[in-house]
Amino acid sequence: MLKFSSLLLTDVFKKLIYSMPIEPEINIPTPENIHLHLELAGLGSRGLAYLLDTIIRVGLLGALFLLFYLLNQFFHLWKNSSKWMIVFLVIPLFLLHWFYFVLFEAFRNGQTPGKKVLRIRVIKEGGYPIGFLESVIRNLLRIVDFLPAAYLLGICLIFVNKRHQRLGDMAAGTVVIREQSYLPIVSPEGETGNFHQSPYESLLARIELNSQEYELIARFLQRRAELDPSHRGKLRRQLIQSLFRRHNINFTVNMPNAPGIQEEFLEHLLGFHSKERK
Amino acid sequence: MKIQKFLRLKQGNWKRLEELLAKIQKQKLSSLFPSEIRELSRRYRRATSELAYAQTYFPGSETTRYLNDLVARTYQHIYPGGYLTWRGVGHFFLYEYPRLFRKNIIFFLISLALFLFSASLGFYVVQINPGSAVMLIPEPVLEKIEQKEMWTEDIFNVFPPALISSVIFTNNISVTFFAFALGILAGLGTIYILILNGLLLGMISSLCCLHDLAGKFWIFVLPHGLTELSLIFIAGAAGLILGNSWLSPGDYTRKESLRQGGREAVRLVLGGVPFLIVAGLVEGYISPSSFIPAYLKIGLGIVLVAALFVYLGKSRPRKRRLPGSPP
Repeated sequence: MLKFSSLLLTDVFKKLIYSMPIEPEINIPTPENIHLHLELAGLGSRGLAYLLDTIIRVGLLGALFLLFYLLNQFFHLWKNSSKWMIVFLVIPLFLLHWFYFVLFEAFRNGQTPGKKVLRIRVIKEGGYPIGFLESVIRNLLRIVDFLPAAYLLGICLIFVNKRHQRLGDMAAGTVVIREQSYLPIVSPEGETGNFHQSPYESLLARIELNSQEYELIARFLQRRAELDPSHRGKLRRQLIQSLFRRHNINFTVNMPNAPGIQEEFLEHLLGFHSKERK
Repeated sequence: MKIQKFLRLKQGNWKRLEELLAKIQKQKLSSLFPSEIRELSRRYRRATSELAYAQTYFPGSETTRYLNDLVARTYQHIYPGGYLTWRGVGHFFLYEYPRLFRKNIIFFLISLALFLFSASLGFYVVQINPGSAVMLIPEPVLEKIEQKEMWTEDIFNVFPPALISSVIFTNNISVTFFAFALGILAGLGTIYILILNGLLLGMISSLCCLHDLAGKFWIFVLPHGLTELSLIFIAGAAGLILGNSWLSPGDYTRKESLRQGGREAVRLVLGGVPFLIVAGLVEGYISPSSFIPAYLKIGLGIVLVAALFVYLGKSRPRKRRLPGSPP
């Protein structure tokens, strides 16, 4: 009996683990019949964004409190100030509590200030921008996700749900995604130099680039100015060495250990392969 | 095609698309010239086919990821959601909100029944055993009632009506939001709120009866209470809709049904907000006033609630008969 039940338990665990998303991504089929892949935001960035938003809300409320206090100190507007304080802060508190998230997400395209800092965004499951109603649904249901304390329910659901949705997200049909910022790879334009006079001509012709290598070299040349010198040298050597190894070219014999020459070689290599060849 | 050729041929399109996106980001979609809009859609479609090509021939490459991101960013401008417009809000209050109410009247009646049942239960329990009122009614209120005074008078003597009104309507709106949101727990949270409030009203009115305050109590409650409670019941209906939507999804999946229920329910709750503000103003200005005669106060309460239900029951869009359709 004991064995039976423990078996069952491991089964449950296995099932739970296997059902967890390996790649936190959603797939959005578009009307053009292609699939967009968007990376889902994890618990960490969502939690941090919430923390930031909470700090902002508390800060705003604190500022109002201070304003009230100072006004009262200097102008003696209210006699029974502690009672008045409650009333003075009621509407701001109400708005900050219920509508801070609603309004930011509805009118700032799914981003509260905290989400903006963490570079995450709320969108509809279909990839569309979030609308007003969705924003109200997902943010009013915060109080349920908060139960029993500290967003326990919401956190558990984000762990279990394939699309990292808490209750509010499920009811509104929204997901939180990570904003990407990929730079396009730029192929060298206009550098249509005559590589037949290149000092590396014999080497260039022997090397065949696949798309990954091409992208790597292009990306390296594009961003080399931002790299610190030691790192830049290491990357440069690694790039050339792995290329040479694949084509059985001896690195020490063929490549002088001078940074300028090595980078010039990479430039020529990229240019050589970017050229239209018939 | 090799990736270098692909990049060389296509990156002009991406660059221009980025420019258009930056312009939309900075200003708005409506700031684009008609020609630019056409260009956006043309370049978007071109980018999608380029993405399809890249997904096939350069899977996992940085270029594919970049294109995926570019298309996704453009996608949300090509297929935007519904915008919130003044016209839309007007249409909502003129026709949609009453229609939603009528469609879901069964849930309204259920929350009404729950409230009335618990209110009469509370009334009955306190009539039998007045001590039991301690369970729900706060101490200071109890003391006031035992001295045969309305507990409201203190508050209304200290604060001006404008501020009391705002406290009241923010509180009531919060209650309706809770009644809606907690409904997702299979409707149980909503039922809890309805029963709790019903018991509270029943017990307090029962206590007032026992201490000869019944007249004062109803004169205070009725002007705003009828409208306010109707809106609480509508919010209760919204909560029940939300819970019911995933409990009995019908032909839909539970998830899809929850989503549809959520959209319907949230509109019922949001629609109640302006009416709750009106009820709050009445409660702050008129209900506690000692200048306005009782019959006027109660008359106003009845007129308000009647107006609400006439609006909810009658308002519907004018039928536009299509030519050739039967009269």
